[in-house]
Amino acid sequence: MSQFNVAVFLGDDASPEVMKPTVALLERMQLPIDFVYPTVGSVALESEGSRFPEASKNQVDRADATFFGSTSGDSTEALFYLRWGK
Amino acid sequence: MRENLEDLYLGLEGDLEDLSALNLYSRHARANVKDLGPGRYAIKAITEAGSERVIRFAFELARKREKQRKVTLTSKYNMLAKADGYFRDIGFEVAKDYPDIAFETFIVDDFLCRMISRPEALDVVVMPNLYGDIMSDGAAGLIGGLGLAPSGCYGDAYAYFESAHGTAPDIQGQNIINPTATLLSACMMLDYLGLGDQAKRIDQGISQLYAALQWIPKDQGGTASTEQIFKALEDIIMTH
Repeated sequence: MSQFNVAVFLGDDASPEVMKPTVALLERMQLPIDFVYPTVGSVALESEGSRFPEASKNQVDRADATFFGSTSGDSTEALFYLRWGK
Repeated sequence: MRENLEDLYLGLEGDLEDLSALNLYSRHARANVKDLGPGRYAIKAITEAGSERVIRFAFELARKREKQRKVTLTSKYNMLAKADGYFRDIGFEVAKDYPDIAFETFIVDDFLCRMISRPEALDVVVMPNLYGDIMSDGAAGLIGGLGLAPSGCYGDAYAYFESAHGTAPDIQGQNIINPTATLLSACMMLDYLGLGDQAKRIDQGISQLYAALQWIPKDQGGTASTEQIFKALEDIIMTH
């Protein structure tokens, strides 16, 4: 049973190439962590009409920590929320 | 350790002209701000709460460490006696609560020279936001580049973790990005969650991987692909 909840932002450009396998490694180690993937940026704008929807904010808030992939700007809203919004 | 919310990062910038009504006189420039001509300003704010929080965090971190147990504080407290001097004053106040931890301060330019020439003489270092932004990349350079440097941003009740490097658009899709910084950021996260033993498994696996010299990423002078490194690391971790 998972004790912890971690919000993951895969990031932009080459960042997912290291973020995805790192999370996959943690999953294979069978750690007590559930990973959630809040939407952000252009993808969130298209699907939910906001670059950082309330649902994503809630996922970040409910998580015990966030694992953040480097952003070239597309997930900046999430980064600024993590830094100044919380 | 770097303060990460204030200093010159409040985004309080504007035209010098907007300050003219304040009648500010610079004793360094020997001129009134309104006589400096066209230009811009940025406000640097060093707060009591922000400074104390990061400095106390540095002392707590030093206390957990097994080796030197020392905190080195740096800022430009000679030229910015009020703002950066305040950061240093708070350092001396907080240090009183930690008599078991050594404490020293250096002006940031002197600190940089020391960090480059004798990094082993330092342990935990703490500084305001802008200096920390610069010095942390410099420190990463000292140990082999941003591909190796993890980071964690800690609040009172939350933290997030990310590699110190950017998105590396120039090597996107080439399967050569060094995963070390991201993996070590994950280790910091596991530590934060109280899963320190699991963090050690990954951390020691990375050490073994580098020591074996077989799967060295391109930015460290090797030829291993990102996928090969993950595969090799997983083999090490899952068999130990």
